[in-house]
Amino acid sequence: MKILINSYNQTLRGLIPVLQQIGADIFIYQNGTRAAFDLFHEIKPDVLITTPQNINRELYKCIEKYSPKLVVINDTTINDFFMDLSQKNKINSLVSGNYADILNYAGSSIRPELETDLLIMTDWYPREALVSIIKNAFDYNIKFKMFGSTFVAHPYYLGSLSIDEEKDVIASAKRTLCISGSSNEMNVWVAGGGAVSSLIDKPVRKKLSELNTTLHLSIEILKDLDYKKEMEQCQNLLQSIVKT
Amino acid sequence: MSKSIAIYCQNLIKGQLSYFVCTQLNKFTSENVSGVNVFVDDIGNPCIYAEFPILHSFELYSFDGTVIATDYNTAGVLINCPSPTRKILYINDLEWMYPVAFKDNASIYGNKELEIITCNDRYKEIVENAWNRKVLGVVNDFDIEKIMEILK
Repeated sequence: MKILINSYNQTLRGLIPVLQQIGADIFIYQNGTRAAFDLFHEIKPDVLITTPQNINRELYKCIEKYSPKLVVINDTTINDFFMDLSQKNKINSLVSGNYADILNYAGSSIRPELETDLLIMTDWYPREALVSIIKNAFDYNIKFKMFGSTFVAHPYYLGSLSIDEEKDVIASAKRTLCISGSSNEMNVWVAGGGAVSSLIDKPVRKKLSELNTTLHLSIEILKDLDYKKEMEQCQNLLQSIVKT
Repeated sequence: MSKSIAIYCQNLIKGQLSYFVCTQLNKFTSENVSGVNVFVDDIGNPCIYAEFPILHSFELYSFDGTVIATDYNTAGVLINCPSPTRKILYINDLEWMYPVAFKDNASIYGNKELEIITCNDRYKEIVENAWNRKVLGVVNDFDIEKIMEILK
C-alpha cells in the first residue's frame, strides 16, 4: 500500500509510525516543494492523506485524475475544493480529534540531566501565550525548562528536540504544561509525564484503552478504506500494547 | 600551577572578553614569573598589546594542562582534545539562546568532562537550573587570579 501524505502535523506524526508498522510505504510532501503531478505520476499512491486547507487546485486535479483513496484529517479550515470533493463523495475517510501518539511517545526514560519542575514545549503555544506563561513561571519561583521548534530568545529555552529526546524530556519533568484536551496532553501521559492544562495541577488519569490513540485512528481510517488485513494488524498491535 | 594553565579563545581581536583576557593576563604576567598561554583560532592583532604567549589552537591537542574555553565553539573543540588534563568552560554569554538544537547544546553544557565557571551569579543560577549541574565558581571580568584560586 503506497500512502502519500500531503501535510505534517501532530496527528500525522503519530500516524506515520503506525502505518509503517503495518507495512505501508509512506511518502511525505508539502505543497510547493514539488509539482504534485510529477509526484502522483511517479508514485501512483493508493491513498492520499491530507488536510482540507492543503487541497489546492493542483492537488484537486491530481485527485480527479489518479483517484487515490482520500483521507482528510479535518481541522477547522475548509475551502471550495474540499467542499467539491465532499459533495462528489470522493472523500473515503474524514477524521478529526486528538489522538495519543503511543508509538512515538511510549518507552521513554527519565534522565537526571533533564529533570525539572515544569516543562514548556514552545511549539504547543502561540507566542503571546508563551510570554504570559514565562512570566507566571517566574512569579511562582519554580524551576522550568523550555524546548521546542519555536525558538524563544530566553535563557531557559534550551533548543529544539528530536522525538526521542522529546519523550525523555517529558518523562523527566514533574509537570508539562499542555493545552487542555489536546493530543499533547495525551502524549505527555503516554510518555509517563505529568500533564497540567493550566498552572493548576490537573493530571490526566485515563487508561490507555479509554484513550483515543493513533492506533484507534489508524483502525478507523483502514476500516473506512476497506483494508481489512491491515486493520486486523493494527488491532493486534493495539492489543499487544494494551497488555503490556 | 600557572605554567600548566591555558586559555582558549576564538581570537583576541576587539571584544569585551578579549579585552578582559588581555588586561588580566598582562597584569598577571607582570606580577608573576610564570605565565599563562593563550590559544586562539584566529591569530589577529590583539585588542591591546599582549605581554603573554599566543599560540595557534592546533597546538592545543598536545597541551597537557588545564585549559579554559571561553565560548561554545572553543568548548566544542576542547572536548575533543585528548591531552588537556582539566577542561573548563568560562561562560561569558548565554549562547544556547541562539537557535541551536538541544542535542548540540547538551553536548557542550551538559558535558560532565567540562567544569563550568560563570561570569556572574545570575548566569550561575541559570546554568544550574537549565543544565542540572553545579557551577564550579563565579568570576567577574575574567579575573585570572580568582580563577586560579577556584581551580586549586
